[in-house]
Amino acid sequence: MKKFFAILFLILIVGLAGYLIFTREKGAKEANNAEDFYRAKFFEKLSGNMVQCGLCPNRCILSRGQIGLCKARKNIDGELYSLNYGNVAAQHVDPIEKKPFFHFLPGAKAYSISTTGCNMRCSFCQNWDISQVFPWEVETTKMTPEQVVNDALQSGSEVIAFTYNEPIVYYEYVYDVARLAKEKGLRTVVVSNGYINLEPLRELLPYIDAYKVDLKAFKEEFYQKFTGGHLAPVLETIKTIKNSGVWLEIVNLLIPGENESKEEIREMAKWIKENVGDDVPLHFSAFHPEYKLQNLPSTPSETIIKARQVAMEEGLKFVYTGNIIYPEGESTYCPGSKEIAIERRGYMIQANNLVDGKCLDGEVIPGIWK
Amino acid sequence: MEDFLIQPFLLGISTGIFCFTYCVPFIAPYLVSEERKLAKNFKVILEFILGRLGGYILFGAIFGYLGEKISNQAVNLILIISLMVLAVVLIFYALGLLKPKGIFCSSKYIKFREKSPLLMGFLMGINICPPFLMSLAYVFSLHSVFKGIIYFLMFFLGTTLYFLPVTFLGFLGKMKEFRLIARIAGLIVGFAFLTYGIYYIIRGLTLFHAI
Repeated sequence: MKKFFAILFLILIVGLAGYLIFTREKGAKEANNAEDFYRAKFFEKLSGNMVQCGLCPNRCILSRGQIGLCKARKNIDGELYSLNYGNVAAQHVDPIEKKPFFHFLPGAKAYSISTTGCNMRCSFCQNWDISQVFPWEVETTKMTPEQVVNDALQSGSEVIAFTYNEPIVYYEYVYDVARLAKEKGLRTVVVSNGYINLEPLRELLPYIDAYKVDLKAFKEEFYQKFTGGHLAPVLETIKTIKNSGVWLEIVNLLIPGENESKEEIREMAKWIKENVGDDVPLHFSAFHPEYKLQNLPSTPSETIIKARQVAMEEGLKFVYTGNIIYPEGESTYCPGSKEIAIERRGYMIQANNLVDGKCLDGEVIPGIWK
Repeated sequence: MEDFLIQPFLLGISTGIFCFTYCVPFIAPYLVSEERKLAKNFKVILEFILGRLGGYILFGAIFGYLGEKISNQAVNLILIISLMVLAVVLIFYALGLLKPKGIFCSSKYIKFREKSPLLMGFLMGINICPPFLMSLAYVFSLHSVFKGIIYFLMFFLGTTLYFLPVTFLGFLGKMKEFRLIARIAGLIVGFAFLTYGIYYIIRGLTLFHAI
């Protein structure tokens, strides 16, 4: 009996060693077969088989086999590859208002997809389970751009939304899907942190109809402490999108004690008005404990309502509230007559009084209405 | 602050079983191949853990300082060489070449044998396991020796919890059948990893990712 168990012990230990060698080797082969991945569009080759990614301000310098901060790009034999091209981690049909877009095709269905990874590491991320992981840590579905577009058409959606995780990190996939979507008559929207270099942004914008940027705060310290990124590149992205003519909306998530001071909101509103105009919709959204900030309380409704008031005092015409129950902050008003242009409850349109994007008195409300 | 304190500790807790699995083929034959009392087995495990700690701290300092400058090829070379040295130590131990009355019959080799858990632990500490390798991109971005050390230390603490119960595996060493089998296992495992290391170097160094 002892001999039997002793032999079993031997088999166990040797078998374990063999299994470890097998998995190491299998993993090495799978992780470094360039044919399995999609060559990245923006990178520079450096000496010693190193590369520098040019997609976002992180500008990761990677040696052979290294993966970027976004967990979505890898140096394979001196070239940069996207690890998550075509690997769809989430797909759902959402109302466009959920993104949120309030001045873009009201009531439209948005076929929403995502992959994995992110070039920031926000402590309050609500989609951290797909944004802060490597592609192999999440179950994904392989979908070609053609399949995405066909699926979107079959779902009856008018829009394809690149959302949930950060679309920038699957740039090439966004680009290919968006180009095809335009050919098939679909609109495209990007829901993003805005942390992208200008060259790739400018190349993508012709295929995007609307862009929502998460302006996480208006202080550099907040960006460094809570996101791992920087404020200035996001502001450049916002200006570039506006100048390109692509429809722009901005969201600011207010976190208690961190970025909800009146002074900061005032500064942000002033900057928006001076740099991109007073008619860019701004959404203030309430924080709820999530990911690494579960110790903080939810943002009180009064804070969100007050933020809206401050922003409107600074001259912004279309300021909305989100994640709270406040009907006045969810609806669009004609700035001149103060009449309700579009009445909303949450994501649902209750009434749309616009005619060809105009109020009854003829005032034009900026946006894309059809 | 929590990024290099809490996060690596939790990573160690969540992936420690994988790290432990990577060490078992080496530590198990060593523990079982000799008859020792529980206290002695516990000392062996402690030394192994301390050795691991040394390996982790050294790597944390290097990665924290060099950051992105360290090439992946260099990392893989260090890993595979440490694995091969570890395999050789295990082979020597299994063959009884580290006995006091073996061919190395002088006091300095007795000390070497007694300290072999420390050495093995150190070599395993350098041979960082795949789940942890994936978090190195973040350590690179710290650009700080201090933060790199702390990050590796916290991860190490998280994984160590899984190593303590293996002390009881030493009870199997009381049976001569197991002692013999453990030496055979040590030989096979040692040669397997030594051969794998040679093959790895010949076919080209490349990073593996977590399963």
